[in-house]
Amino acid sequence: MLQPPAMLRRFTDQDQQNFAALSGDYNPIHMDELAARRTQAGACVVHGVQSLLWALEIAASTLPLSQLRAVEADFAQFLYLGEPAQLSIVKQNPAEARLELRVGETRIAQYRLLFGDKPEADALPSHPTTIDYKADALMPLALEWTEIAQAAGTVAFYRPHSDAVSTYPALCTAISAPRVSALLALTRLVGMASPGLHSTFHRISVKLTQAAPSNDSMLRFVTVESEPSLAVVSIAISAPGLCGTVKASRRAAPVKQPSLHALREHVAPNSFTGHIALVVGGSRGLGELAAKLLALAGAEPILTYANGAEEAQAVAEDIRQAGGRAQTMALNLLEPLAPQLDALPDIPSSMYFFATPRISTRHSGFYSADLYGIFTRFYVEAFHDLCQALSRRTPQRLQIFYPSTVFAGQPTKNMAEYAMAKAAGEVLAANMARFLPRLEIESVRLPRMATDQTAGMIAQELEPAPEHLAPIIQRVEQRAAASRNA
Amino acid sequence: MTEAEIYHDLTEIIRDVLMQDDLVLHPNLTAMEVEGWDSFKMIEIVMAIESKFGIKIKSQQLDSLEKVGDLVALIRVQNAS
Repeated sequence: MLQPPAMLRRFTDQDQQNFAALSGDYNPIHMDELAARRTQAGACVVHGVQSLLWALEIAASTLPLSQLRAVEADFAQFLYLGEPAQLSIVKQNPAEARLELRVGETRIAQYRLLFGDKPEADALPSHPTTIDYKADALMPLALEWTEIAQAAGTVAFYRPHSDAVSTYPALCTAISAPRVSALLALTRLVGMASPGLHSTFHRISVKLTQAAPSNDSMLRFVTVESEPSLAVVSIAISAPGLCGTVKASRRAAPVKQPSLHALREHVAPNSFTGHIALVVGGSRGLGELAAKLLALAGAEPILTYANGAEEAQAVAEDIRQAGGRAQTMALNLLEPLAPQLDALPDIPSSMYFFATPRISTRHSGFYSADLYGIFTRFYVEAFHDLCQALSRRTPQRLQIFYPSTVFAGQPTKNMAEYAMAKAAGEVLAANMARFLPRLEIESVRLPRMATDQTAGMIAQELEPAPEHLAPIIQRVEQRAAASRNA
Repeated sequence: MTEAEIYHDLTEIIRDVLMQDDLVLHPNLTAMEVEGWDSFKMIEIVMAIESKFGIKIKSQQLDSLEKVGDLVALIRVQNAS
């Protein structure tokens, strides 16, 4: 059997760079931390085909891959950089082997390998070419859904077969280098051509065909099925020695919050002139929206960010361009807060707490203590520490808004840890407000609203965020005004 | 179609979508008990059901399904109408 150390791998940023340089799949979800943060994944993820080829390269030393006739791969969950991915063979007989890739108890992907005589190639349906993705193309295409649903054409292999041999020598020996190049071209098809920029790869189902692998360095493809409600497509593919289908979807593009102009109707201009409001997590999502609403009302938001410096500065610049005032500052809630607050440009009279970790729904059961720990670190501990640290710096009463969630009061699948941590934050907020007289805290259970965190695969009804946030800001700032005048 | 026939075809569909060829369906089985049967896979399963049985399942009907038995009953009713 295989030795355990070879079966465990933590993919690194360097692995991503190397795989992109080999496959030509430079989709930002794999390569650009800031861009990946705005996707459903929330952080850079390993190329599905990279984990598949790694698994096959290992399996080549144990399984009869020279007799491989078909491969199915199901990429069920994102695999993040640095996670301990454990590969195991869960089933093996002369006709078939099944491999699984897991992180802890969560199955990330499964691979089914079928052995036997190689079949004839299926003919690709004829369709006019809409995409001719060249070997030297480096930018992922940003296609509309209608273009994706009709896409057909070619994707040139990015590197010569010899490069595949260098990286996957055992696999290339077993199934031939052109077939490995064809598998590499699948990730280039999905990540760069169609669906392209905003894509998620779900499944590969390919046959290794009798056709002798040639020097033809081209993958041909035709979109054969499209489901608009899920933005999922099935794409038939054909390359030397390989044919079959891949399934991929078009991810929701990053959520754009309404412009300052569009938000004008929600606030009374100059009603809170002179107010300084600390907006924690102000670089995007609800924090960005709150900062804009505050600025429109004449207040000066200080937008904090942990990673999104450019995004926070862009929001602040938007506000300034519209004639408002705004500042930004770095604030990492996982580091000691007091020294960081020395950088506060002004003393705030209110604080809006929109900091959040990635709201992951990756689950292998009903409850994950690790996930609960991540959420409570932000929604309870960091909230508590920041309230305390700020109250020591503010001479007057500090007005605070704590956004809770409707999920704290209603069971929702795969959201238990998030809801529990928010509920714990509510209790903490109520206790602090009751026993720490210099803090006044309003906590509201917000519905699901449109942000990057709620942009899911499946279309769902989302509440318009300005309608919910504007009255909250009105109440908090009115109390801040009363405190100032007291 | 008989209930047994529906179970037979449904088993084939769900095994294919979830890539689990040893999965055994029973009326009280819920999606949460089956690894990998998440909301996205559920939609894939529904698409395959619609294609196989020639029926249309509305999203409101999906929301009311709690277990495999409910899904089979829904297919049976839709299939008969």
